[in-house]
Amino acid sequence: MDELLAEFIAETRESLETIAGEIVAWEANPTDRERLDLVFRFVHTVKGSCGFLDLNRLQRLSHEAESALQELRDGKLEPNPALVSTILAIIDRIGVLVDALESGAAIEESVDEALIAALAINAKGGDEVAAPIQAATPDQRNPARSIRVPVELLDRLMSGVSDLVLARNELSRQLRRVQGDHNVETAFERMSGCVADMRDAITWTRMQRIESLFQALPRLVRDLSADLGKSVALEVDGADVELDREMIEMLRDPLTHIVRNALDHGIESPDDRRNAGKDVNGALRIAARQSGNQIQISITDDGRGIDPDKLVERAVAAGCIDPLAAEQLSDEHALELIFQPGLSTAKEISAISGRGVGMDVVRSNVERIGGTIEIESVKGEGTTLVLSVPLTLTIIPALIFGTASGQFAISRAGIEEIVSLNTGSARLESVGGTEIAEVRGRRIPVVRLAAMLGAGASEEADAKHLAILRSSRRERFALVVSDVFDHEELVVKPAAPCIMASGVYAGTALPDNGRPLLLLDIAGLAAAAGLRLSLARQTEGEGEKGERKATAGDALIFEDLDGKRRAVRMGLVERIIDADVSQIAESAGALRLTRDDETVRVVANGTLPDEGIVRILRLNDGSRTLAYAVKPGLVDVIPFPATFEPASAAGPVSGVAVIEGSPVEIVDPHFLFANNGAAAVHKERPRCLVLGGDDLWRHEMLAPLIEAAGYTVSFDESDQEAAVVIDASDASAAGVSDADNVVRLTADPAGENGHVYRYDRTGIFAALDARLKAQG
Amino acid sequence: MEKLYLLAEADGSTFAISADAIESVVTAGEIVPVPLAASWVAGLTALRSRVITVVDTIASIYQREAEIRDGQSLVVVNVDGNLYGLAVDEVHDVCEYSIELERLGASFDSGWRRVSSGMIEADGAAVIVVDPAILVLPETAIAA
Repeated sequence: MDELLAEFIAETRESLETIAGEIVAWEANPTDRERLDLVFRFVHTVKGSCGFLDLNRLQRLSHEAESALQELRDGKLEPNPALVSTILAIIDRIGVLVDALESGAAIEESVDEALIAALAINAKGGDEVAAPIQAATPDQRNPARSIRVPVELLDRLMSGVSDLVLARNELSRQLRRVQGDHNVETAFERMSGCVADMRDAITWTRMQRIESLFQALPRLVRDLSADLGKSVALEVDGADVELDREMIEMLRDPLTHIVRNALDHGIESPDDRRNAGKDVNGALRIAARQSGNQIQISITDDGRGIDPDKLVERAVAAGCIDPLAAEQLSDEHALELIFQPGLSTAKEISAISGRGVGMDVVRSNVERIGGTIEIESVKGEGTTLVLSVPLTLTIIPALIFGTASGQFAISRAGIEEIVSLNTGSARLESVGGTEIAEVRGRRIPVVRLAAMLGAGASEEADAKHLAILRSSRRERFALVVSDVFDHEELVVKPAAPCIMASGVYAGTALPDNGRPLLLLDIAGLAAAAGLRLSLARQTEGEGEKGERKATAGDALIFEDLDGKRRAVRMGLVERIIDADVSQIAESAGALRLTRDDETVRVVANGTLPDEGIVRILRLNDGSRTLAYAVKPGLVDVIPFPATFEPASAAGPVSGVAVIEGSPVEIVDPHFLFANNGAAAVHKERPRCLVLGGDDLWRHEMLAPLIEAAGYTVSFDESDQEAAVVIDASDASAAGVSDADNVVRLTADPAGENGHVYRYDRTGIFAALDARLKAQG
Repeated sequence: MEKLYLLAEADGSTFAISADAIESVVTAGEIVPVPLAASWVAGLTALRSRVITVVDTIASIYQREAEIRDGQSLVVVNVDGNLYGLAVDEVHDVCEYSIELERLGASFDSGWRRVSSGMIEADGAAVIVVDPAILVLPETAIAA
C-alpha cells in the first residue's frame, strides 16, 4: 500500500508540473478544447487514484472539479474567469494535499469546503461571484521527480556502456585479423548496433530538454503578474535545447530570480506603460540556444530598463564603489554594478524581490557551474540578461582533427567551414610577421596550434586544411589543420583544474578509439593567440569587397540532395556551412533555415533528410541571401566550364557541362533568386535594371559595382518599375526603348554616341546619378 | 589514530598516500600529452572508459617537467571528482599506521613540505605522507 501511495504522490506531482503550463494557456483561452481535455484528464486521474487509495478529501475535491470541467466540456457551462480561477485553486490545493500526504503534515479542512462552495457558486455563472480563493503558494512544493536516480549511478551506467564500446572495438579489430566467417560477422554487426543504441539511450538519460526548466515559468509569471497587478505576456523559445540534468537543476533558482526581478522591477505597471506610450501588456521573452560550447539563455523584458546613473549613485551610497572610480565608469560597466552584493535599484522593497540579496547571488550561482552572466539594458526600453553555461557534461557533435601537436576535437557548432589549401580556394600569406589566410577574398587571422602549444614548427609542412572557427558573433579565425579525421558525438567532461587552467581546453572526451581526446575551447584559443576583435572585424570588411572579383570564373561542384552533381558560380557562394536539419523548418509557406538569429530562405532540390547534417551553400546576389541545401560531403572548386549545353527550358538548371568526364548540371542562380523570396528588395535603394551584355560580366562585374554604389540590381527584363536602366548590350544592339532613364554601355574605350565605356566606373556612376536626378 | 596508507616509491624516495583517496593502482598505458597544462602533467590516459590525468608525482613535488618511464605504476586517486594517476616507480604494501607529525620541519625540502600532510613510522623508518589534493593543484593556485 505504501508503495502505491508513493507512486501516486510522485505521479501526481509530475503531472502537476507538466500541466502547469497548460493550465495557464487554458486560463487565457477557456474555450480551448484540447487544453480543457488535458486539465480534465488530470483531475479525472487524480480522482480515480484517490478512490482506489481511499483518500477521501482529495477524491472529494477532484470530484467537484471534475464535475465542473465535465459540464464545461459538454457545453452546459460557460467558462467565466471566477470559475476558472476556482478550478485552478482546486488544482493547487490538490498539490498541497499531496505534499501533506507525503510529509504527514496536518492540513486544515475548511479550505476544501470553501473551495467546493465557491465552485458551486461560480458554476452557476450568475451575477453572484465567490471571492477568488488565494491560490496556495506553489513555492512550498518540492519539485520532486517521480524516480530519483543519483547522477553517479547514471555515470556508472554510462561508463559501463563506454567500456562495452571499447570492448566491441577491440573485438572488431580481432575479427578483422582472423577474417572470420560470415555468420560471426553478422552477429557482430548486430551486437554493434545494439551497443550503439544502448550508448545513445544512456547518454541521453543525463540530458534533459530545457523545457523542464521552462515549464514552471508560465505559472510563475501568471501568479506574479497577478500579485503585482501587471499584465505580462511570456514568450518561451528554444525549449528543445538539451542540457545536462544537473545544469538544469543549478539554473532553476537563478532563472526564477531573474524572472521575478524582471516582473517586479523591469516591467512597469499598466498605467506607467500607457503613459510611456508602450503596449499595456509587458513582454517577457526567454530563449535558450546552443552556441558553440555554450548554452545561452536570454531573458528579455521590455520594461523600464536600468538607469546606469541611478545605479552608480546607489553603488556609491552603498559604499560598493569609490566615487572617483564611479565617474570613470562607462554605462556598460556601470550596469555590471548590479551584480555587486547589497545593491538594488528598486525604490521600495517588495515581497517579490528587491531585498538587496539578488543579482550577486544569481551571478555566483551561475559562475559556480562555470557560466557567465551578462546584462544589457536600455533605459526606458528594457533589459536583457544572458546566461551562458558551458556544455561540459553534455554531448556535443565534434570534429576530430590532427595537427602537428596531436589530435584534438572542436565543437561543430563553432566551425564555420573547412577549406582545403590545395584546391586554391584559400591560401596563407605572411603579413608583417603574422599569418593571414585569404579565403575567397576574405582575410582571416591564422592560428597555428603547434606554435601555440609549443610543438616544433618544423613539423608543420603538412598544413592541408583551414578550419574557419567562429569564436564570437563577429570574430573568426582560421586554424591550420593537417588532417580531418572524423565527426563524432562526444561526451565532454571537464578536465582536471591543472589542465583547464591553460584556458584553451573545453574538456576531455573519450572517443570510440579509446584514446583520450581534448576538446579545444574556441574562444579560449582566440584569447590565447592574442587575436584582437577589431582586427577580425576590419579584415572582414575589407574582404567583402574583394570577394567577388577574386573568384569570378570559378565554379563550386557539389552533390545535390537528389544525388545529382551540380555546379554553381563560386562568386555567388558567400559561405559554405553545415547545418542541422532541425534548424530548417517550413514557415510562412517556404523552407527556412534559422541560425544565429537570422532566417534564410532554403532551396532544396530534393527531399531533406529527416535528421542529421546538411551542407548549406549560402548564395548571395548582393542584396539577398538564399540557402541552397546540398548533401554533406566533398565540394570542389574548378574553373567555370567555358562551354555547356543550355537547358531546353528555363528552370533551376541552366545547362549541363562535362567536367572530368562526367556531366554536371549548372545551377541557374537567376532562376533561384527570381523564384525564391523576390519580396526582399530593399526599400530605400533605387532599383537599377541591367539589360543585355555578357551574362557573366553583368552578373559578376557590373552588378556588384552598381550595388556598391547604393542601387539594388534587377535582371528582370519585364521590370517596369526600375528607377534606372543600364543597357549593357553594346552599341549595335537595340535597347528596350529610348527612355531617358537608360544608360548605355559600350566595350569601346572611346565611348561614342553618349555611350559610357563599361570599365569607366566614375562615368557609369555619374550617368546613373544624372538619370536618377532627372526624374526628381 | 590508525589509518591505512599505501607506501610507494619514486625517484628513490618512499612516501605514503592515504588509502581513502585511492581507487586503484594500474600500470601506465598509452599517455596522450596535453600541451599548455601544468608542467608536471604527463598527459591523459584512459582507464576503463574514464579519462585520467597522469601526474608525475616527483615532478609535481619539485615543480618540474613530467617524465614518465615505461613500467611505472599509476596510483589512481579521486580529487574533487577528477581522476588522477600519480606515477610512481614501485608500489609497496597497504598497511595501517598511525600518523605522527602535523607539519614537516623547516629542514625538509620546501616541495615536500608543501605536499605533505604529516609523517608516519613504517617499519622503523619515517615516511612522509603526501596529500594528493595538493599534488594536483594547478600552478596558478600554488603561486597564489
